[in-house]
Amino acid sequence: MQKYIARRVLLFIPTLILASILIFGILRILPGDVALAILGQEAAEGGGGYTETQIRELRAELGLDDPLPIQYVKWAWSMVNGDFGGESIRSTEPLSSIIARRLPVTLQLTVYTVLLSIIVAVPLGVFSALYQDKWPDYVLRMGAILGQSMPNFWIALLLLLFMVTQIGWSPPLGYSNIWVDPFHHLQIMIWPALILAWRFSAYMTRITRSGMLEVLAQDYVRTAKAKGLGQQLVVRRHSLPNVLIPVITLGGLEVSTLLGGTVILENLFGIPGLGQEIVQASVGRDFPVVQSLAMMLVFFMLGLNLVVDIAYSYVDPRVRYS
Amino acid sequence: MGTLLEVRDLRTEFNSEGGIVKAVDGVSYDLQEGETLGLVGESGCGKSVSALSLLRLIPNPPGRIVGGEVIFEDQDLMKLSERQMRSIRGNKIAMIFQEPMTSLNPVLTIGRQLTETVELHMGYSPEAAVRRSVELLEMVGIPDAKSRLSNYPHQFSGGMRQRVMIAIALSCSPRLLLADEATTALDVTIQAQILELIKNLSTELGTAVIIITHNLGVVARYADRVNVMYAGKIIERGTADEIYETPKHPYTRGLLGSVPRLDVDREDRLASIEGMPPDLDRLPPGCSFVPRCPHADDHCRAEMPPLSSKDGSEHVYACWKGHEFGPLEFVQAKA
Amino acid sequence: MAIEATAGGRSAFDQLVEEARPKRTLAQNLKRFARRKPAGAISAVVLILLALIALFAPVIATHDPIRDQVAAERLEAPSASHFMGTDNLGRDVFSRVVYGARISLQVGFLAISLGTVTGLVIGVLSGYLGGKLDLVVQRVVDVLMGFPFIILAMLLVVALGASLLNVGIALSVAIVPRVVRLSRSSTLSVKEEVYVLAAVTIGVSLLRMVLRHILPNTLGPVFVLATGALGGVIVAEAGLAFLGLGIPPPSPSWGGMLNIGARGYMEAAPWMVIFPGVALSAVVFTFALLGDALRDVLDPRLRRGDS
Repeated sequence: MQKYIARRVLLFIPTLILASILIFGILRILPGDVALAILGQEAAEGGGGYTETQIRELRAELGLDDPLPIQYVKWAWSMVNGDFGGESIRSTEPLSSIIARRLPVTLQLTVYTVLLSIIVAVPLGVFSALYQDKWPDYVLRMGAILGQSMPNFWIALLLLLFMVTQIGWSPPLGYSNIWVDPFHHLQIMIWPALILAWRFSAYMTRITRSGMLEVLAQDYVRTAKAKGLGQQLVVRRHSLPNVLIPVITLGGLEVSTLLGGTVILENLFGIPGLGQEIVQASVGRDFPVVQSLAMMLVFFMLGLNLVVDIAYSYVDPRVRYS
Repeated sequence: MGTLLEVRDLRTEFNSEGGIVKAVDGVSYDLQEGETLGLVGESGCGKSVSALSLLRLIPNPPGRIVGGEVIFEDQDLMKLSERQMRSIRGNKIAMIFQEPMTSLNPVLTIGRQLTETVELHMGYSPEAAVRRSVELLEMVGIPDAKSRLSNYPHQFSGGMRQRVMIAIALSCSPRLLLADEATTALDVTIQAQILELIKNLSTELGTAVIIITHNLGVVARYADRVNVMYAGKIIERGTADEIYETPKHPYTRGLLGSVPRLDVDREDRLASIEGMPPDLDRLPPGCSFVPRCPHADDHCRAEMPPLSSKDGSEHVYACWKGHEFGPLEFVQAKA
Repeated sequence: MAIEATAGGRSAFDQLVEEARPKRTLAQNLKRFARRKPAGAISAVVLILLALIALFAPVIATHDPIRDQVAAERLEAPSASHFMGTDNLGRDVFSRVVYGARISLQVGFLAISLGTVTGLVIGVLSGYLGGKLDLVVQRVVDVLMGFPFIILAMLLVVALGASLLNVGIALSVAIVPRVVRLSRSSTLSVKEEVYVLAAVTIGVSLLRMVLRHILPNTLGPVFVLATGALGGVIVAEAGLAFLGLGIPPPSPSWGGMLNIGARGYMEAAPWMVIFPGVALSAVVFTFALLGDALRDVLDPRLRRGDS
């Protein structure tokens, strides 16, 4: 198994490099001069123009005079040594500080959502499978389809609309660190986490259900029943571990969609995570921030896939002993 | 020896796209204590379903047991509660399945899969269960049993897995063992080993065995009596010798007496009867074998013959013309 | 036989493939679909309706979605003259929702057709030619699949600048890897079958092979994927617009309307949020139903992991 993990980890590095080249490439090679774009935006906002000198200065500041490969290597190295690509153009805050401040928030929101989803989805999926094609199954499947097809910012807006107009409640302002004021922290995080969890658990319920149905039809479940085991043991000991293998894998991949939702909901609920920053930076054409934060989000996603792969090998003895 | 099992008019149906399939259609037989009974037929004739029905393990939906009695040790299994039924499964009646590769749970150790049965039915402590499991693995001939308890199924070969299955099945010294095509998926040499093992252990423990197979060679060698099934019904029953020497039903005769051909391997030769088994959801009104029977006449087409014999002997057959047939001229060498 | 094949006309191989396909007319197919998947058929009808609304937006809309700004009619509740009320600039919400359908569908179809065609070409070539090209394509696809969809689209919009065309392009890039993966794998499986027969009928050109035998077999699953993705693309477009990164105002994009409505008009004018939101989720839900139904009918293999 060590070999398997080692191979996964080794494969992770070229994947990261390729991802960073793609992000860099998208932002640099596509038509349009970055400096012009930034100045154009500033000029449009300020109502004035810009001079050749300004362009030259900005180009030098952003390191745009270097050949592209050098620019890339500089940026890539800064991602490794902790500079994370310098500083924000708008606020001149160093990216290392931006990331240190915002990454934990996004991580927390993601973890809450995933935990909440697993707690809800696995039992519901099992339940749905055990009552296949009976009414509890239909109700759950309907809820799952709704959860998966309603855009989460629309659900969030509906929720806010209802709260604001019906009970006169509006979401608490400001954000508190969990270590400082856990109650306030949870008050803020609970709504986006619940909304994200609806969609995520809808997906998890669906795959748990279909995985469970598949496992329940397996020969070894029949063997377990023929041994005289009760339903509880058949489900808990003989079925669930087999269901969790695909659920972990597919769930891990779906976190990618979850992250997309996080980006949107952070903006809607005013949660100071990576998603809020990357959107503000995108609107403000703050290229260094967009580039490095996109890399962080992708790194997060790819890293999670790696962890899932390794976790998988622990759950499945067939991988563990090969 | 007394009667261990009496099956009376067992009926099991499945819902399918084409309608209701009568997979087991009024099957009756009995089994003495310690006896080995063969249940023979082509695939799809209902022999596996009838065995699963005894344990009430028919997946519902789409299947359900619609009628009949299964008297085991003086109680009707069909009338027991699910809880009472569970105390019989794996304890008094155990089953071995066809696919050793998929019948063991891939994510649980062999030890766990062995110990849970004795813990459940015999109230063993975890330590006692482990000791018992080691004994069982040694009993079925698995070397180095103690260290193999922590292994997973994929670390065993097919034959070894089937030995583990036998160990699990015999762990509570059942009164009845159902072996559903237990050797079909294995190599020929391994098949013989496994069957010998089942035979020896069941004799030792006094366990009655129902061997369910499509392979007449297996039955000839190991069974005391034989039930031949066709289209959900038993169509002939007798001792193994009677069935082999003077089969009365054209189907049995076909199974046994197919002309030997050198260009077909032995497995196929035994089952080479003209035509295909009928669709169980579209049975003809009379004898189900009519479409494939060279001797069929209008009487056969109109009325299903009962399972009986002309001379009142125990060798019974469901054929209007069965009494006309004498011993097979070409008797298949016993495998 | 080999000469016959190259001399044009129908080769024995073509005939074999032809016969393997069940022969049904389009009308028969549609009838079968409607009978077996009523939910799918209903959603298809709803989508045709939507397309008609988008097409005839100028006829259906009661006001001009951009120019009809009446300061005196700002934030008016729904009434006979404004079915869905008015927005913060006094524009008719109903007309904007109707035109919004147009934008959603335009971006959706642009992104899907662009993404599907690009993905098909890359996927089929990569699968058919194999070798180094395939290896590189595979790695890039793997990495792109790890990108959260909306992040990738966001990066592209930032790089290209926001306009209807660019948003369409950005979203198309986001679905390319999915199409590549699917078309590559089905090309590979077809290639295996073709291989055997191709040895018999030597001399079928590469282009002919791809066009006649590989593409038709790949199109089914890709079509299913595209239908399913259309809903996702429309949501993503709305999401981008909602974040202020989509088609810039004053274009009446549903996402953009939600964005404005959510910024301080939720109490005063909830209709600014409700109507575009309902329209959006209805369309997306319908696409999800249609995608599910199509998947059942066209490609049972894709159903693994769902039910």
